[in-house]
Amino acid sequence: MSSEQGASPSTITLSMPEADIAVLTLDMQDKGANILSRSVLVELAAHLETLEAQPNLAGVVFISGKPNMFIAGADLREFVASLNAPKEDVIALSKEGQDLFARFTKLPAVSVVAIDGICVGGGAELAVWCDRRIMSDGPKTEIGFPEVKLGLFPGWGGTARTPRIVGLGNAVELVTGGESIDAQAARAMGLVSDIVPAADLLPAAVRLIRIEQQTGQFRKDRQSWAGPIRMSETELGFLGATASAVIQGQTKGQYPAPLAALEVMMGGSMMDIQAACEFEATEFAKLFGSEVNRSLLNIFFLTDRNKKDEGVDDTSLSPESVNSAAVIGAGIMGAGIAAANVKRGISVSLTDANKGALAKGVSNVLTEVSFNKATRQADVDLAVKMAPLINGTVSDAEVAACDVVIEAVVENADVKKSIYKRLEPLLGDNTILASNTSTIPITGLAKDLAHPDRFCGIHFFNPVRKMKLVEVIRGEKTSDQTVVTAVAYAKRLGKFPIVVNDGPGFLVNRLLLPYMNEALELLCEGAEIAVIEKVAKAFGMPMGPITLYDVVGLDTAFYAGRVMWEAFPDRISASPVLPALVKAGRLGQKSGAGFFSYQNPKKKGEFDPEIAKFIDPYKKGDREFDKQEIENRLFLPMLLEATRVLQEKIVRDVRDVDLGLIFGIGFPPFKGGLLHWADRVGAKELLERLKTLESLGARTKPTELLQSMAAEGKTFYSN
Amino acid sequence: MNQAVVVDCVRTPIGRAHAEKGLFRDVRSDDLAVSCIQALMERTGIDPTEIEDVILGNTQQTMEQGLNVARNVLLMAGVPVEAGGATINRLCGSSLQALNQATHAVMAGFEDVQIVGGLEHMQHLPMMHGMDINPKLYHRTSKGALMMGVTAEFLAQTNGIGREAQDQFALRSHQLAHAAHESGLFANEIIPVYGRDETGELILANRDQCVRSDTSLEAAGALNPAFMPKMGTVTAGNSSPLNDGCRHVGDVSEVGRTPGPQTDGQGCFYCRGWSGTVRDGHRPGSCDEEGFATRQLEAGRHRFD
Repeated sequence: MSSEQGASPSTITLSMPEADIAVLTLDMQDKGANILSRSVLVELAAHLETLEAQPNLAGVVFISGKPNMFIAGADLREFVASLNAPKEDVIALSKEGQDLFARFTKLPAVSVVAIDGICVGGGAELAVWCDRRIMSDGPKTEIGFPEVKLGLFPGWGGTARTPRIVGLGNAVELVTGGESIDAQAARAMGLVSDIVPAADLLPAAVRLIRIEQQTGQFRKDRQSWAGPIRMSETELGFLGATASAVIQGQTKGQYPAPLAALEVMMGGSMMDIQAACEFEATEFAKLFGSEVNRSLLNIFFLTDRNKKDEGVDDTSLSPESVNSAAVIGAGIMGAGIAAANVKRGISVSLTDANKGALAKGVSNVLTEVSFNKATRQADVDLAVKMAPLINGTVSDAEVAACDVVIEAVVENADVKKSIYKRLEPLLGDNTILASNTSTIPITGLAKDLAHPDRFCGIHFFNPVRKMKLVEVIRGEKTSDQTVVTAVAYAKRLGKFPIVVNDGPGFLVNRLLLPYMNEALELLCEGAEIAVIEKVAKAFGMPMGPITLYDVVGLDTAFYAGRVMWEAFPDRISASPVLPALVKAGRLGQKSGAGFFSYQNPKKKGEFDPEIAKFIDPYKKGDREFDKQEIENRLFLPMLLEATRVLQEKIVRDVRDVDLGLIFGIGFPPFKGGLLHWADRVGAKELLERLKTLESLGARTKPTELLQSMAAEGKTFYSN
Repeated sequence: MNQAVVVDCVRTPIGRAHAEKGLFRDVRSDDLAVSCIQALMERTGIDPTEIEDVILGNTQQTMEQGLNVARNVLLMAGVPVEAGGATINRLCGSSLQALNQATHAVMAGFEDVQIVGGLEHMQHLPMMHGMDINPKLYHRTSKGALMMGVTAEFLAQTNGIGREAQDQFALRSHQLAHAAHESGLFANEIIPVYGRDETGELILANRDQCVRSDTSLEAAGALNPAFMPKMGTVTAGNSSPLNDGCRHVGDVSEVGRTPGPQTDGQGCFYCRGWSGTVRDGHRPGSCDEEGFATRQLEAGRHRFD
């Protein structure tokens, strides 16, 4: 058989531990994860042919040869290669997979999938086509259908088989939600028959085969799962209506896959399995290659690249180990950073010049790290377990003894520098000193340091527990070694670090500011707050720019903006509206009023007619704006700034810009990132749109990069 | 076959299930039940030794409503130990089921005198307290079907009952209930019990807390949907509030000796309720449709002078 022939090493091997038990072991050599690429499926087909010819087989076990890893899904690079394929080909690919896996249901033997580690996507589809599943009790063991996160749904029969096994209600949640479930949850809903230690998976599978052969239950299930789902029409209608309402609330029409998956499952439930599979294939092809599918695939590859990127081009360096961290400043950011460390088992010394602030900071850290998601309350056991990892201290020696020291004090260069001056002589030879500044240039802060090579910016975003982005900022003298260690450290905290060269606003704030500033310009030209917010949200932003001002705080926004106004006076000028509001004490959410008013029990932003008093004096006009014009005004200056960032080599790769904006400001994932979006619009079209904004001057003037791209027909991603 | 009749009927006022404002926020539901049984015995003048069973409906039989709360309540109320005591759960239809069971026993001639009722403290024991639903249930139904608000939305959608119709109906309920309080129509059925007013003072409560005299169509129309954001029609104003309270009736056979003056016979319906499917909201109509026996015991037939 093919597994024994040919030059390429086999990934699936067939063995017979007992005379009537066959075991298929999947192990992709020289890869960390098993994925269902076409060649693997071809091998599987050959093995199934062998097994189909053995009538006396009692059972077949499908298992992975890798510990903690069953199957991570289909091969997404193969997906990308066929994004432009004709629909018939996509349908044919679905049907091929369905027909292949369906052969498990026709074997004379019981088929059992034994899962240790992750079992998702195509792997989960293979699993649901088998008669039975068992799972290991390992912490990494999970099963799920994450396809909706790529703008798709399962296309190898997953939407047809899963509801027949676990019931439509559970399957709808699994498939449209895209979240994996652990072994216990899988067993509770009947997806999994047994949970055992990983080492016992094979014997447990054989035991299950013997029981199934005795009861013959698998044959009854095969018969019942081949037909339509028996659920009353009323219940079906109710499930469809309620699930659809929930999904529409969550996706806001921006992510079509979950709703499409629901419709496929509702429709397929009333057909026999074969018709349901055909329906699935036809509907799957409609999503495959769609804009949202392309965008979400891009995000998958962006994050995948980030996980592998060490932050510098020199691959010979490896990160210094970080076992302890110090955080100076126990305010919101400091406590947040400390908590992120404690949650990942890194011991933290937290310090603050103010003892009361320090006590409050330590208490905030403990509250956050002991939060139990399941009970939604502080968990005493967790608090007791985590408490030894947090050390509230006022001793410089204790702070300096840590492997990484992060300063998160007030945004004042002199205060920061005086702290560095005091601490640097006490630091160890490999200790990294870092600032969490969001505005002050790193090179300047490093000026008086004895070891500027071991200094960098590690910029977390607020709130730290939610925001996945970290900017690692290189000063002029920051060493590659320091960057590599800082990047590895940020990843250990569960963050996505991007390496950014020093410059005003670094990356994220630099790109955010033109957008924020333009919103104020629009206000002064007569655009209504509600209209601006609506356009930004329709574009996919989590909130409008005006609301964002109130969330960030107008004083903070003003301070951050000043850096940019000073750096780029040719294209960004300070709006007088901000200082007027700050002067009146309208600082945003925190003060009860900013652009909106928050004088209600839920602190929800409400339109405040008073706001006219702060805008009217600076009004330059009063006219109606159409949606496209506002969208162009908000996002094109941001895009132009991104092209300048690329020209200045502030980032190493266009993907860092897209990742930074998605994780840093919530740029809509369904648009795939700012530059991915720009590529889909096309450089030529962008120039056309910019032409309509010509009268605004320097800030909307096309950059060289964009012009040359348009001339050469290039894209950001192909540059 | 014996004819079963209801002899007398009392209840506590109904409090809101609210941790800061609820009338009974620091009163146990079993204490409320004791008050009802004692009032019933006093009003009817029944010889306690005649009481053969106390059947109480209750959906959360744990903590203060745990063990067999009907038995605990009857003992605390002073009913002799020889009486039985059983707690019944048919969710919304629990007390009705208690009444049905007592009726069956009387009609079949097994027993003559029973006290039936129900108790629920939805603040101390919320609906989902300690719930662990088997996901296999979702082969037959779905999660939404276990949420009454969502089933109400479904009912409204499938039957074309719009927001305004619901608000008007709710307003009418509040107005009628308020008028009933004002004119003393509830005076005979509500027994005053200790509770706490919204400011925290101890009071002898005799009015339902959830009846709003001050509501209007405008106020009701301003409320957001409670169960389906934006597109829903069911709000806090037009749906049943979460309550704490207790009600008991004395159920006796026609031939049973039922002493005591001035006991009003009450009508009682026999129908089976069910919950846990999307039909939750349909119950009364479905009883007829599905052919369940719906029988009205002769209302007001028995007046003992």
